[in-house]
Amino acid sequence: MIAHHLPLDMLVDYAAGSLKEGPALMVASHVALCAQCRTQVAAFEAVGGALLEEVRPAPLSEGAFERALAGIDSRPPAMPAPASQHDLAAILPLPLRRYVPAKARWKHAGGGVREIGLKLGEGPHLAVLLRIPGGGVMAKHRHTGLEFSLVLQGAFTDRGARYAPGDVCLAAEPEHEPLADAGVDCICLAVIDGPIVLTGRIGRLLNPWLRLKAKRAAARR
Amino acid sequence: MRAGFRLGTAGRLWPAQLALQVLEKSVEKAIQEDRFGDLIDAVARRRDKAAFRELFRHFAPRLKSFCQRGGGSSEAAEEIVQEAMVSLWRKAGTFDRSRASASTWIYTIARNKRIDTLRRAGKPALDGDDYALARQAPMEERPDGMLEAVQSQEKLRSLLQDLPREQRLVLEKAYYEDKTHSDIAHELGLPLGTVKSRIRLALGRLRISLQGVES
Repeated sequence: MIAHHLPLDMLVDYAAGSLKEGPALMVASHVALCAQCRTQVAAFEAVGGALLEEVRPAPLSEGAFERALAGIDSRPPAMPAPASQHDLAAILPLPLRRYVPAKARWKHAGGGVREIGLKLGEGPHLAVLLRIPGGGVMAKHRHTGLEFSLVLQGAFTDRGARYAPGDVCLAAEPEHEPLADAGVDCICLAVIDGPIVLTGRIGRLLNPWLRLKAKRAAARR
Repeated sequence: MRAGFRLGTAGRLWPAQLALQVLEKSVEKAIQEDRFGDLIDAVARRRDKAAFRELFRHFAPRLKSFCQRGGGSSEAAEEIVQEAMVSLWRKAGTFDRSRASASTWIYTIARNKRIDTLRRAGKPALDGDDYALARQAPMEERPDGMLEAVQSQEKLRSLLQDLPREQRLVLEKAYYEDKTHSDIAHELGLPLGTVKSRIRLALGRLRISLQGVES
């Protein structure tokens, strides 16, 4: 049972089509696993459908329908994107799969944590798959922006709450230090919209990749 | 004919008759929605071009208007409309009226096309196939809310028309102009919390239940 959901305004923005790619990936992935948020998104999309009926129709240019007819006759239907052959495919929600190429490999992020960086085409966000070993801890860090973590496998505890597959952990300001359950490795999708500041004695030395990426993201804005 | 039922004063209608008219109107809309659903099915099953033409005639000009509200050019809007309508033809088989009304389904197709256009270089919209997504989701059965959300399309439209102006404005900015909550707050010079609460109030008035969501 999913206990930790996404904020309402994010679901509205997603349904309205205004989210950037990073947060949209987070919503699409959570919604693929969470029937409740899917229902909410469907309701917000129905508002879009009703608004579509409300607009004053705009005249189309000459021959628009004929062009559409030509379109359906000529263009072959798009092939569905090939499913990722990555070992992780089984635990990745559909929208996430195409972001994880078959050849993607885990890279060390320090402190036993490993990561796969995901390539976004747009926006200032960072998206990364994180793998925390069972019983391990993610280096203590603090955010200047928001971090969303969606659990895909295993579970972790953070600031007194436990997060299991499908749950989203939203970390804003105060520094935090997620602790994975013992047993299976905990794998999460993390989407970050601001630089991360590693704190704690070891943390500062760790995870240069995230720091570098965060710097780049800050520079892009 | 109806004039015969009017009161003498300024063409005002009896409340009962007014209610009847509203009812008739919403039944009409419900029938219309259903008809669009039938047309999409005809496209799916028989590749029916006459049905496609009718869908095009109704939706394409609305989609164009919708796409232009965000400030795009007429040409750019038409390009998205073309792609959306071709996509409608191709994906007609995935339309499921128990999940979404025809106009909602078409709205999502156009929204995704618009996102694709914005991300040209990147990947297609994440929810390119909402229905495949929905099927993937495990375990929990479809909650009751879903049916509610889907069936009330006509009711939704009449409730939309009754929204206070400031609430309608933020909704339109979100949906037509692709603005996030923070974009809207920035543009209108309002605190983010005010925009959030206006959208929540609007959704409340549209009788969309907001269940178990975090603030």
